Amino acid sequence: MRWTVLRWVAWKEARQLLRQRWVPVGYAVLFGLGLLLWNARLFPVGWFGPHRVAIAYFQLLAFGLPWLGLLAGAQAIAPERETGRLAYLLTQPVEPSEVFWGKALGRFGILAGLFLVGQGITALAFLRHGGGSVGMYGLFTAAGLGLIFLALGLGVAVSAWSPTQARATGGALGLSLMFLLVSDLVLLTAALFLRLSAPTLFFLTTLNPVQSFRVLALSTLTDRLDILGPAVGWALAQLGTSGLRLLLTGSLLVWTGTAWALARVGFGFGDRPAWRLKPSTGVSEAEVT
Amino acid sequence: MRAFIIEAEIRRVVLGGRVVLRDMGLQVRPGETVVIGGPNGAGKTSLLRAILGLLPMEGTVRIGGHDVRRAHRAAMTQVGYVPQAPALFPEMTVGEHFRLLAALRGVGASALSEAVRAFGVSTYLNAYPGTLSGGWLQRVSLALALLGDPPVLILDEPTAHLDRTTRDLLWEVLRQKQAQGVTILMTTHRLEDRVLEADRNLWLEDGRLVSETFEPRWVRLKAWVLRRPDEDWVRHLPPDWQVLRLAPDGLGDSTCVVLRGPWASRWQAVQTLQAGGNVVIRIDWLSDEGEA
Repeated sequence: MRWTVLRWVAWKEARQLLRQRWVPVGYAVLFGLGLLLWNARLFPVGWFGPHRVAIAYFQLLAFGLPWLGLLAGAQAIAPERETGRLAYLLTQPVEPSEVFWGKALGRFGILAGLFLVGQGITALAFLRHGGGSVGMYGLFTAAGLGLIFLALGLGVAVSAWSPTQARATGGALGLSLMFLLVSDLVLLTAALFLRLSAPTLFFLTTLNPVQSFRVLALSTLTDRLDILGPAVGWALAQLGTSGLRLLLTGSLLVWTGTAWALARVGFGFGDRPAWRLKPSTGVSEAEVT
Repeated sequence: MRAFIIEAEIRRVVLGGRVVLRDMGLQVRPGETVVIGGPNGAGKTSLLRAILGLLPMEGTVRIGGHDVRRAHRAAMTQVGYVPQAPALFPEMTVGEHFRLLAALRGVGASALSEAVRAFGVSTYLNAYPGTLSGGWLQRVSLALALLGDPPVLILDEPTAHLDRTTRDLLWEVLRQKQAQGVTILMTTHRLEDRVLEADRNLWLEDGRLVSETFEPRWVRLKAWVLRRPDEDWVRHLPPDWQVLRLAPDGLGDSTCVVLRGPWASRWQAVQTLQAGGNVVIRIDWLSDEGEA
C-alpha cells in the first residue's frame, strides 16, 4: 500500500465531506448544545451539579457522534459506486485496498479533526465549572474518537454492502435508531416484563457499542448506583473498575474490528457489493478479491 | 516487445442475473486502433469495464502483460480511460481533479500544465463539474485520461454527449495519438464514428463479437430532407426497409425521415430516397436501437 495514494484519496474524501457541509453543521449543533448545557445555569438547582452536567454532556456526545459517523460512512462508497465515480477512480493506477483505506482515512480525519476542535472549545467550559479533571476529559476525548471510528466503520460497512445511496443512507439511519433508541426501549421493556437479572441485563447492554461507550464514560465519572444502574453496579462489584473498563474497551474493539472487516469485505474489488458477486457469476472469492 | 498490449479471454460476465458478455477473445496490438460498434445494450460498456478489471468475470484480461485484477495497479498505469458519462466528483473543482489524477499517476507539474493548456481547460480550473456543459466535461475527461501519456486509450462512446465542434476536436486529438503510436480501443453506437481510421472494426451484439467488420445486420437511416409532397418513393424502398418516422422536424421546411432496414442494402435505400425527388440535407446512420 502506497502512502502517496492513501494521502491523495484521503485528501479527496476530506474535501468532499467538508464541502457537503452537513458534517461541520452537525458538529456545530452538537457542540453548541454542549455549550448551552454547560452555561444553562443549572448548577444552583439542587443536586444538578457540574458532575451531572458532565454526565449529560457525554450522553449528548454518545447520541450525536454515532449519527455523524454512521452517516458519513454511509456516503463513502455506495453513492460513488452508483454513479460510476468509484469505477473511474479505480481505473487510475491504484489498488482497491488503497482506495478503501484512503477513503476511511480522509473521512475519519475530518470527523476526528472537527470533534477535537469542538472538544477543545467545550473543554474550557468543562474546566471552568469543575466538571472533572483534565485527565478524565482527555480520556473521554480518546473514547469519543474511538466511538467515531467505530460508527464510521459501521457506516462504511453499510455503504459497502448497499447497491444504492438511498439504501446505504436508510441502512445507516436504521442502525442509528437501533443503537440509540430501539435497543434502549427493548432493554427497558425486557427488564420490566421478563424481570431480567442484573448479569443478563449487563451482558445485553454490552452487545450495543453505543451503550458500551456510555457505560464506559459514566463509570469513569461516577460510581453512584443511581446513575449507573443495577446492572453496571453488579459488573463493578464483580469485575472492579479496571476489569469493567477492560471488558467494555474490549467489546468496543471487537465491534470496531468487525465493522471494518465487514466494510472491507463488502468493498471487495470496489466494483459492486460483495453479496452480488457470487450468485451472478459463480466466480470464487479469491478470483474476485 | 509484447505481441499484444491487450489480451482478453472472457468466458462469461453476468450482471443482475443476465449474461452480458460471453465467449469473447480480443487481442489488440501496440499502436492498433480498434473500434467496437453495436446497438445499445449489446455489452459494449460491459466489455470495456471487464477489460479494465471493473467487473467480476470468468476469464482473464491482461494489459501490458499485467492481469487487470491480480496486478490492477500495474495494468492501470498503461491506461487512460474516458467513460461514457463523465464521472467527475461534484465537490471537486476541475483543477483539483487534475491535481488528484496527476498525483495518482505520478505526473509532474510541467506535464500537468501542458495537458491543461493543450485542451484549453485552464479557464475552468476553478469551476465545479456541475457548472460545465456536457462537451466541456468530456473534454476535461479526455484531458485527464491523457495525463502521463498512457500507451493505451480506452474510450466508451466518447462522442455520446458531444456537439459537432467538440467531436471534431476529439477526432483530431485521437488522430494525433494514433500517429504517436498510442493504442486506442473505443466503443460507439454511432456508425458515423468511423471517421476515425481504425485498423479493425468489430461489431458486438447480445454480448458476443458477431463480426470482424463494423457492419450490423440492421441499420437505421435518419435523414433531414426537403421533401416532395407525394410519398411514392416509399413504395420503391428495397425489400425489408420500413419507414419508422416521417414528420416535420419543427425547425423550418425540412422533414425528418427515419428508415430501418438491412445494412447490406443501405445505399439502395438512400438512392430511393433521393430518386423520389427529395433533397437530402443530411444523413446520420444509427445502429438498430438508435433514437428514432
